[in-house]
Amino acid sequence: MLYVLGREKLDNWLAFLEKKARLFVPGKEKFEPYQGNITFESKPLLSPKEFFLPPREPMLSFEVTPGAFPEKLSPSPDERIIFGVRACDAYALTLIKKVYQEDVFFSLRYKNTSLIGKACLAESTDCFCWAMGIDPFSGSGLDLLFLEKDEKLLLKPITEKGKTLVPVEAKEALPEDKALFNEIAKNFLKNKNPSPSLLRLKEKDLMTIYNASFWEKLSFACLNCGICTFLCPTCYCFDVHDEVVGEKGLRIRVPDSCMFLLYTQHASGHNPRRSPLARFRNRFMHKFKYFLDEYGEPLCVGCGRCNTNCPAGINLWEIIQAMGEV
Amino acid sequence: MASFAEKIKEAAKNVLKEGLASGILAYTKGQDIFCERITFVSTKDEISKIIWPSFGGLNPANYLKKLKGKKLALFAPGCVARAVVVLIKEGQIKREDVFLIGVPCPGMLDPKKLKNSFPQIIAIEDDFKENLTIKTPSTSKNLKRIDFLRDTCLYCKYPLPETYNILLPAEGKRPAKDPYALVEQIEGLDISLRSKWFWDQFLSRCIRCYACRNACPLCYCDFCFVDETRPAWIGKSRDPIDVALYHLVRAYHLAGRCVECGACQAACPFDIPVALLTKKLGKEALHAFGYEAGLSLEEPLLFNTFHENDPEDFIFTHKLKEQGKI
Repeated sequence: MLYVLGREKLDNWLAFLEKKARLFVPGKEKFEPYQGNITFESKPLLSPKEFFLPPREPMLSFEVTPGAFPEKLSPSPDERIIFGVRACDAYALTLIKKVYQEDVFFSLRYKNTSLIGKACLAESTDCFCWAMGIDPFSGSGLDLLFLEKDEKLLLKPITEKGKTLVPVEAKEALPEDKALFNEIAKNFLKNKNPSPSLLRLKEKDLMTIYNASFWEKLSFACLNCGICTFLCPTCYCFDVHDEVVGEKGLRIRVPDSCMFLLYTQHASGHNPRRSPLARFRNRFMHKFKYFLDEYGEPLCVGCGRCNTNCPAGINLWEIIQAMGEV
Repeated sequence: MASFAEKIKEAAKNVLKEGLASGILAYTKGQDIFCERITFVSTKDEISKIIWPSFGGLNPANYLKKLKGKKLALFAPGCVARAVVVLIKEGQIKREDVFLIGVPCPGMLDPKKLKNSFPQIIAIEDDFKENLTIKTPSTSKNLKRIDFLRDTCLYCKYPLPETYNILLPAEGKRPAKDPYALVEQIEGLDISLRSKWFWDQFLSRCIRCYACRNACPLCYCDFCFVDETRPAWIGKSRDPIDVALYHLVRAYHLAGRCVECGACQAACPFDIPVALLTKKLGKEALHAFGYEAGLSLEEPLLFNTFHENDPEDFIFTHKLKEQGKI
């Protein structure tokens, strides 16, 4: 089913959504509460991952007194609608879900959140969803996908929840609108194929890639900061910490980065990934070998945030290529 | 006359030919025009890839710790030479293990300033003096470098190195007349506006990726205080109190040591003015003790000296005594 809404009705649509749930729209740095205006200039630096794996998730509360039992906490997230999500960021959540489907915290947040995606029409020079095997018009991970063409918005509900997000003013699409939607989708993917490196990586022996000599050269410039992992819409690693004030404490889950020394620091003092090279290698092995072998697709959606924001000028294609050719 | 880039390559060639170092830490081109990468260069073939960076956010001196035990050459504008001097004086490296090719620095460009004004740049021609030509798909434009310099370079006091083995003949940027202008702007604010500035710029945006720490040539502790877990000195989430603690302690650890290279700020994906905190402490060190870090190999370190005349008015008890409160 496809619906049509006049472009000038966008504000009405947002007002309609705002009544249903807390509404978030893309800002420059992150998704922000809707305050009456919206732009779609670029992807926010922080992906919608932030809503599902928040920077601070309390899991347990406890008292530092003998005999006191800890209390399990569960989040009570509001109903949320995130508007203007890119196809890549939405797809990323389906990848995280493969790992987190049993997780109470993630599941509750996932259930209470609706994602409305905006289709990218023009090819951008710094992102590459198709190369990772993603069709941005499939709506995967979204509840509703819309496309902006001239003075029209074409709305395509993907899930049952998505159907309830279509405003009453939207009309059922005419055959020519459907044809237009299909044509735009087809044109976008013309000459854009999944990277042949992915196929090569699937076939390659894991230890051959792991032991390859290129890692030393390619990891040299890396600062081992957490920019790529924290901005990545698919990186999902976490750490658990206790925040204790006086006799009371909270056990919280926070995002962690495999780039950090602390990530693999053992209580014994031993650290299996002491060297910056080992940490650098792990990130790419996880995304383009371990995850690929386990789930059949890479843990990357081609949003390009890591490439654009790396202060050291690391580019993931160089590494994928080296991994595929070793 | 040889271009700036040719002079750089020529100098690199000579250093290797004469065996003055086993390799050179230099910038090479990355995957796109805004992306430049610090590389360890040791062969003739690699020398041909050396560039002088237009953007060069990072400080090559930061990579000395990755190559301990090697005798290395560095292209050294003022801030790189100063960082090396501090590292020598703090016992991290030996003077004879570093060959400094002094470069009068033209200042580095801020990619974000350029991208904000011209979102679609496809090529850049930089004369490394005063002018810059950019090309977009529709036009080409001549710009003044000074309008697009990084703030940290715009207010740089020492573009010309004080310490070097050889000095390349070039003009370089003129030293800033008002190096502390941005610091003074914040100092001039009322205390509530100042704390709002800190909140808006730092506490509500920082994601604790530690790029500022890792980009710093003078942050070399084996185990950073933020990574300590027994005891945990600082919480690991993005709680504003922990974010504040991180930034303040980072700045204090660099008091009287920071060489104002701006690598921390260049690395920040959110453009948080992290270099202003360390610059403020540099200003304090200058005004209270007449000390500036990294300018001389002979002068003792600020924290290794005591004079009877050293001001003590920053000590809180001193003030309270004056006021008759204790």
